[in-house]
Amino acid sequence: MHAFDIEIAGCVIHAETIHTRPEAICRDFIVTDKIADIDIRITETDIDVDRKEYEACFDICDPWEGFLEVSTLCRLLTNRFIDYDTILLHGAAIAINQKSFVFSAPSGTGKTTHMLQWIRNLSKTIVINGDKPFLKFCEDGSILTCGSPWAGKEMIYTNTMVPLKSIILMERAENNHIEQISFAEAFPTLLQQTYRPEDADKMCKTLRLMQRLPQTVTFWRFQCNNFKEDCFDVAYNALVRDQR
Amino acid sequence: MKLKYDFEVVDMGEEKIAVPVGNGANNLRGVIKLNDEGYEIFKLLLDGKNESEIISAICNKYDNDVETIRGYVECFIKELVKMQIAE
Repeated sequence: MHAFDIEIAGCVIHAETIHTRPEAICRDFIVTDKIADIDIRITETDIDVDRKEYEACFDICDPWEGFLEVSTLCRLLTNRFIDYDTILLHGAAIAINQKSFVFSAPSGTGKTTHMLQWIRNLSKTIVINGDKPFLKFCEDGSILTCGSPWAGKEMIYTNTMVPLKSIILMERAENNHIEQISFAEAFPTLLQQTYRPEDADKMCKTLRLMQRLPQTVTFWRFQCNNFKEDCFDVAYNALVRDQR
Repeated sequence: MKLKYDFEVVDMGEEKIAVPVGNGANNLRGVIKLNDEGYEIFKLLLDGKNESEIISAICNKYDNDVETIRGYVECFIKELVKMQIAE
């Protein structure tokens, strides 16, 4: 059993895992001498849940347990985080001038490719998390995009929290086009990309938190072709330049 | 006839969106967008009312003839069954 403490989204988590891999993945979030808000002890049964899901999704038999346990820790933590007004949104989160933007879409749409365009074109771009940022709903009404170690294949992340300004729902298209949309328009896709707990009470809490989003966050539909030259400019002009 | 899942209805102003919650809810892809009439029927289904109770409740609330309301309700419920949301 391996025990370590991490701090994510302002919460201290004491984790006990079977393999060393989760601790290695979480290395930039390790804290010491802090009192834990959340205790997570992973069992073989917990890992089995992720094994079944992984095998069903990727048609791979008998994946390495240490690898699976990283996902197990993420899943168990995401479930517990709902009690701390924090939810997981599948997307690539970046920050510019202390404002964050989450590009959300199903896997394979081009979130990471687009995120890399921001890094290339705008040196002040900070990547909060390339795949699974947490959104923390604060008591003062603000919503923070929080870094986490679960950051997809590229593993690009920063241990930071930045106020959320916009959620951009990406879809592949021939030409680049971005437009602001209402929360009602964004909601079905947004929900698909949000972690949805099995527990009904936790799911209802997730929905209540999501209903706070339109108070401070704008929503955009981004029809995106990462291979066209104007891709970054179209997004940047709408999201950052024209919003100053 | 009953709903196969529990739902939480999110109020979006112009429309309501019913989101499946709880056991097995993630098997159901997507959400149900409801207009005002659909919301009235859906609320009654969530309360466990059967088809004739729903028709009767809506007739009491709105000044419309029974056959028109029966048509709306039957059509709505048929759609839910087709979407495997109700059984």
